[in-house]
Amino acid sequence: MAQLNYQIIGGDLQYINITLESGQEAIAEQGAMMYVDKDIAVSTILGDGGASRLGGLGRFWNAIKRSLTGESMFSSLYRNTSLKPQTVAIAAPGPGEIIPVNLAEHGGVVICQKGAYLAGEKGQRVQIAFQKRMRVGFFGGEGFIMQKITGSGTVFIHASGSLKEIVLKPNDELKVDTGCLVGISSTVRYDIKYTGSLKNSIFGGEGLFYATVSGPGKVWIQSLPMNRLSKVLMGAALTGSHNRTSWAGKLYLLGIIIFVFVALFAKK
Amino acid sequence: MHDFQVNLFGPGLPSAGQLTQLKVGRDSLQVPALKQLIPFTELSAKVGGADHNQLHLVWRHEGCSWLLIPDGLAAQKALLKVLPDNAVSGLSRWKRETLGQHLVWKTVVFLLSALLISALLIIWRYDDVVTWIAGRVPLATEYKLGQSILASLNTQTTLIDKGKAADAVKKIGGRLTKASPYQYQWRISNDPAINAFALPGGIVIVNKGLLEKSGSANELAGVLAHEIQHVEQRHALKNMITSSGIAAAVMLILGDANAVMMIMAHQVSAQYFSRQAEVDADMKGLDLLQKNKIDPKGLSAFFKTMQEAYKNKAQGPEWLSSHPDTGSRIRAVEDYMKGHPCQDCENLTWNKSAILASLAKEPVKN
Repeated sequence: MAQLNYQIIGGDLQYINITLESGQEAIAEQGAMMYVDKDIAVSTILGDGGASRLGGLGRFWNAIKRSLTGESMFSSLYRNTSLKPQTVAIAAPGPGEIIPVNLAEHGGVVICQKGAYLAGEKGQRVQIAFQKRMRVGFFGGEGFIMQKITGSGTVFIHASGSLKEIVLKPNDELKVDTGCLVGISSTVRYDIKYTGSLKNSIFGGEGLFYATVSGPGKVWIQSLPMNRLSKVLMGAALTGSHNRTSWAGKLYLLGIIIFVFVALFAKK
Repeated sequence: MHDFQVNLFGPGLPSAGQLTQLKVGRDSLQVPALKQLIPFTELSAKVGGADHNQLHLVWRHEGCSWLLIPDGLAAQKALLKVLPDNAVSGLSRWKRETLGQHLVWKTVVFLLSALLISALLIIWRYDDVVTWIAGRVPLATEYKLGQSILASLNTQTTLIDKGKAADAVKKIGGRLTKASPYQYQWRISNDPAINAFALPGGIVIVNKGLLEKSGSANELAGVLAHEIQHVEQRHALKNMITSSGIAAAVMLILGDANAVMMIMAHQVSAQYFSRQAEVDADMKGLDLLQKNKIDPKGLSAFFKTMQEAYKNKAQGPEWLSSHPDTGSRIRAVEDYMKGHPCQDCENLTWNKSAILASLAKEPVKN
């Protein structure tokens, strides 16, 4: 299949202009369409449209697993039905950058944070990459589930803030703030490291752990993770936090438990 | 010599690595494409990759770092077989770390499923579990608990334990509790509210209002049987244990919810279980009445009296408000009586006017 012909437009609020040749197809996550030319047929497909050994039920199961990675169960398939090239414009869902990744340069696999997938070519698959290191899952800032995007051709990933692509050579290591990691290639080891000092972790505002990525391979890092952005916005929008009273409820319940145990089982 | 397909990283090679041939000899690796010969002793093994399951072999050559990764897990397995653990530094550590990862997950899965199974068991055999815990509490503790509540009640209301009313209650109650391990105490409260309640350890308190409203001695017996079963089944203890269990569960499940939510969740679930206890006391109370040859229809008659008396009021009597829907209780009692007919059950008699007259002399404390 011919290479995808695209152009990324905009600074902080970007969209992609993909030019599809006759009969060429592209897939994008639902709700990302900005506009398409007249002869582009838009259809909805289950999951990433990939086949399954188990038939329809297996495809449905794959779509459910895919939805656990922050994507919707369905995606949109754009197909050029005319003989002339036609344009599809796919917009990013929020402020941030779109990065095209050529999967062939990464052994056909990249691992991204939840919801990073924006658009790509047909045949690419978005699957669960389950974090097997418990400490990384708990403290790495990306949780236990990430996206494993496999296949060939170009895939577009999106993350909020500015994106930086860094090539790690063998033995290179990078300390990254937890949550700032967008994607890694499959040869990169992603781990966590204790910040090394209690003072740093309490007053430094960087948390107890850094994420570390070590080479060889490529990593993508974002300047403004969504939860940091939303924290800033929420803080500005709300004067008070609604969670302040949770300790009172816990105290009440704990009081009940202690009372019962003292009344029934304490020896005098 | 063994041949392997590996991905090679190093100066001048693409950032995603270069697929190449690797030859493994008796004590060295050979990369023909680079014309390099690396003795095992210069290699070190590292755990790498996004899944922390790749074997990364690192070495230095002419001041530069080189690294290779077997192409695919099958190649990695094969390579591991021919590499000697003691010659390549870090290889045994690599094996330990990747094995440890499996063990950690196995342990976690095992512990979680054990937790889940025991949680399911507890929910399934909830009654048995609570009964078992309640069984750990000695009767003396229960008795002390009851006495301390009684003492605080004494300061609020007049509790009468002598006279005709107390004797009448004692007579019926005594007949129902012949075979009980508890030492029952019977009290009449001068409270006009229609209510009767049991304290842990065998203290049953009947309000004056209830005596006034009961149509017959059998109705009183029905109420007493219900309260006695609260004592016998240790409902007060079980409710306390359930309450603390629910508190723990709510804390675990709601976590960060606010206080009002938590308290409401706790109250509503505790209410559910206390209603279960009421149904339990109804059914076992009927059984107790029949065992002692008392006609149990008094209980449903009492429910009907209550329903009639409070038909047009928003707030029902205290004795019913914390209890399940009266209509369904009447039906349950009548169904039970149909299924368990009692030919030789008798009607009790009492001198209601004399009892009420004796209570009229008692002062009312507020």
